[in-house]
Order: sequence, then structure tokens, then C-alpha cells
Amino acid sequence: MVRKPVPTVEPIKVVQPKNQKALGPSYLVVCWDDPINVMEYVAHVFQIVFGWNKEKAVKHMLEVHHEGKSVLACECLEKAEHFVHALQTYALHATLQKADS
Amino acid sequence: MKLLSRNHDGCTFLLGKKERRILLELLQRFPVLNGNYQDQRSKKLKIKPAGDRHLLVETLEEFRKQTRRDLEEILNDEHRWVADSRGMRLLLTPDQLKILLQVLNDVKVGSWVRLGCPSDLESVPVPALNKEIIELTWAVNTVTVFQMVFLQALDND
Repeated sequence: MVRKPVPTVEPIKVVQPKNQKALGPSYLVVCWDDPINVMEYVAHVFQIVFGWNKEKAVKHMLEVHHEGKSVLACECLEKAEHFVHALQTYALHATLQKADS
Repeated sequence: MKLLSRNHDGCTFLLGKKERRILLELLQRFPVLNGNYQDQRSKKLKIKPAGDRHLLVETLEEFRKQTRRDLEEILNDEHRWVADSRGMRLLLTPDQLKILLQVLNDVKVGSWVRLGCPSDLESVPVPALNKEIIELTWAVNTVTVFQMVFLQALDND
């Protein structure tokens, strides 16, 4: 996904259910744009890692491409770490971020 | 390289002998991407990731070792390659295809990192070109060619 300016980083706010605090903090799985991975490959990886259909994978891939990043999941720490690690094994730039409560 | 056939058991590709040599040469380079890549990108974008970075780097290293073993198994399997009057046929299961895609992408992104992560490969000034830069640029571009054929084979549409 080539020729994109470096995106500015803004805080990401996620609406959580009222009982979320009892379940522990949530973490966001964020995938960031880069100028090297082709769009088809990024969508392919999203399908494998999250088990999404092509339509959903392409939607998030395009969000990465146009917005500079996409929040792919909001999970407990363990699950979110699992997803971030999986994305990183495909050489995508993925990070874990604590969701704002 | 082109896709010859596809079914539930896997895909068959046709490669010329030179193409086969080039594909094997690129695959054998794995792993190229270093363990600090994620931190370097985060630093560039001024992101401070949460989570245990040390654990992630360690797990990534273990993944690379396992993938290297999987790759060796695929490359050493004589039945993967069948001589054809037009060249060589490569038979891959869907899982093997996914592993090769992952390996090739590591080689591609790793080569790009070694080039200094240029936002546009064509922006490298001609006077700066040397043997290493030309070779890494060749790797990035050539991997993309193989990658697109593999992705096309996995696309169910």
C-alpha cells in the first residue's frame, strides 16, 4: 500500500458494556498501514487470522489503506496478544493498545 | 509461473526451470526480517504499544524456527516437483501454499527493511544504486510476482 503519508496517532475510544470493568481491561488489536505489503496479501492475512469472510477482510484492509490504521478486534489481554502475534508473523505491523474506558 | 489447476487437495503451478531456481533462491533466504521490525515501525509512527514486547519477540523467534522447519520439509519433498515438457509442475496443498506465502512475505518485507524502508522503491536516487541495493530491490519486486500468483490461487471468487 504505497505512497501514503505517515498517519497521525489519535486516541481510540471504544464503547464498552457496563459490566466490562468486572471482566478486566480490554485491549485493541490495531493494524497499521505500510508502503510494502500488497492489499491482496493484507486481506488474505485478515481472513486467516480472524476467520473473516473476504468482504469483511477487504473492508478492514481498505480502512488500513485509507485511514492509516484499522482496529481489528477488542479483546481481553490474552486474546488480543494472540491476534497481534499472529498478524506479526505475517510481517504486518500490528500493535496492542489498551482501550479507553 | 502460472496456476495450472486448483481443487480441494491443492494447486498445481507451472514454472520454467529458471523460475524454479529463482523461487527456491528467494525461499531459502528466509528468515530475513529482524525481530526489531515491529518496534522500529512503532517508533517511526510514534506509537507506544501495550503488552509484553519481550514475550512477543520471543514467540516470533520460535515461530520463525518452526516455519523454517516447515519450509525445509516442503522443499525437500521430491513429490512436490514433477518434470513437465514445458518446465516443472509444483504441487502444493492449501496449507503449504499459505506457508510459502508467509515465507515469501518475510523475505520481501525484510529486504525492504534492509533498503531503509523507502516509501517508494523508485525514489532511490540512481547515484546511490549499488550491487546490494539492486539485489534487494530485485528481491522485493520478484517476490511480489510470485506472491500475486499464489494469492490468485487461494482466492475463491
